[in-house]
Amino acid sequence: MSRIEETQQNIIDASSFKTPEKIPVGADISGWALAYSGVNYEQVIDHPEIYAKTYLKIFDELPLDFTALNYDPIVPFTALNKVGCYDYTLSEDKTGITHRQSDSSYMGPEVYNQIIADPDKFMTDTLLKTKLPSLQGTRDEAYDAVKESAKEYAKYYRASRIMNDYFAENEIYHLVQSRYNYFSPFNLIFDRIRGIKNSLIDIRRIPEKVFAATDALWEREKISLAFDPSDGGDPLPMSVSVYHSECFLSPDLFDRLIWKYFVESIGPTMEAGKKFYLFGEGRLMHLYDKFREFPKGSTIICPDSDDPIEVYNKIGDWATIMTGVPALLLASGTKQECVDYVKRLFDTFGPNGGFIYYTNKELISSKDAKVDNLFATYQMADELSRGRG
Amino acid sequence: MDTNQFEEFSVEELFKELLTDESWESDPEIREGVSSYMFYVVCGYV
Repeated sequence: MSRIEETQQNIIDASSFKTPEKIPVGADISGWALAYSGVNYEQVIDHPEIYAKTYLKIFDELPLDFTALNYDPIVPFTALNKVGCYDYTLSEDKTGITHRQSDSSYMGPEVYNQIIADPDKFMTDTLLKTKLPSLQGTRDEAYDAVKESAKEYAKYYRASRIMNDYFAENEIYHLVQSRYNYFSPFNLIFDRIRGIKNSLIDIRRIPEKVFAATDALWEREKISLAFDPSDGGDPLPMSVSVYHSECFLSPDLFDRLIWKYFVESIGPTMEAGKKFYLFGEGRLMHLYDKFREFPKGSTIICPDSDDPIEVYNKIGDWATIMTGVPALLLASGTKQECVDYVKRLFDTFGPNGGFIYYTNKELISSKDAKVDNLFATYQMADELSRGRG
Repeated sequence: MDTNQFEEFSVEELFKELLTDESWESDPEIREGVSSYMFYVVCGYV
């Protein structure tokens, strides 16, 4: 059995409430890895080989079984700049890429009628021309701009190829590589079309328009997520969803805007035996019990702002908790505090399955973790992950 | 923003044409990158 096959089996066992040979240990690290190598995006983005090499240094040194990013290019912000989009920019220290949601231009409430009338035209034409201003002129002008943008994107693509090759050669498993990747239609409206503030007002002032628009977007989207029974029975690769607006929604609105489509798309994969990975954003304690509608052991929850012990007490008998030392502690705590937290997690969750060790949040930029704290936690996690059966 | 003022053309078709642009003929990896970029943009990750 290869190392990747061992990791896959350990993930399946842990999430099926069996004692794994080794509790899987993973991490989600982006820009922090560059800072660790003493560089930033600005210095490496034009040099794919250097970018990949400096990014990968931390993965040579941390004892990891898996990562969650799939190493398709990170947000290709300089490529988007070439088509007039500046919604993404570098953080102050240039080690992180920030979505400038408060500065982005969003569409007005009339957009709901456009979506309802023709969701396909809206998604493949109107939305793109709105978000990428260089596409608003003539076709020839747009072609030239997109061509320059594609050349810029090629650098990101080259770097991601090198990274993918590295993870394959070093047998570090990619957790997220399934086509069953559910991002709710309302999150699209929330994130890219109307913005956070406007969309949360809309669901109170014009809920029927919002519901009709999410239904229209779903009718278009569900085709690509249609469950294929021929691959539905394999636990891995797992289905996945990132919760984004969900923490702001009441249970009723969650049912209408999120769960309704989730049950239709990802539900059949879970019923068939596939694992489902939920990457939460914000506080979601009021929603976790929903996953009891699906088979025990089918859900893996990575809580974001919720206390993992509380999540465990809420649903730890039914779903696997995938968590680690809180980012705040990694960034500002002492090494001893961090190590003690790792011990607490393994002592609480570890013995009988239902636990996977992971970063509590993606390490996006330099200040997200102290180097000593990160190494100390992963050395302890690696030690405690072995022979717990 | 008046979206009715946008020029009428298909962004998806524009990308398909870009995939066969002669500029990439000597470098298949760039063509793969264009395909990846098309997926990124057309699927609305912007």
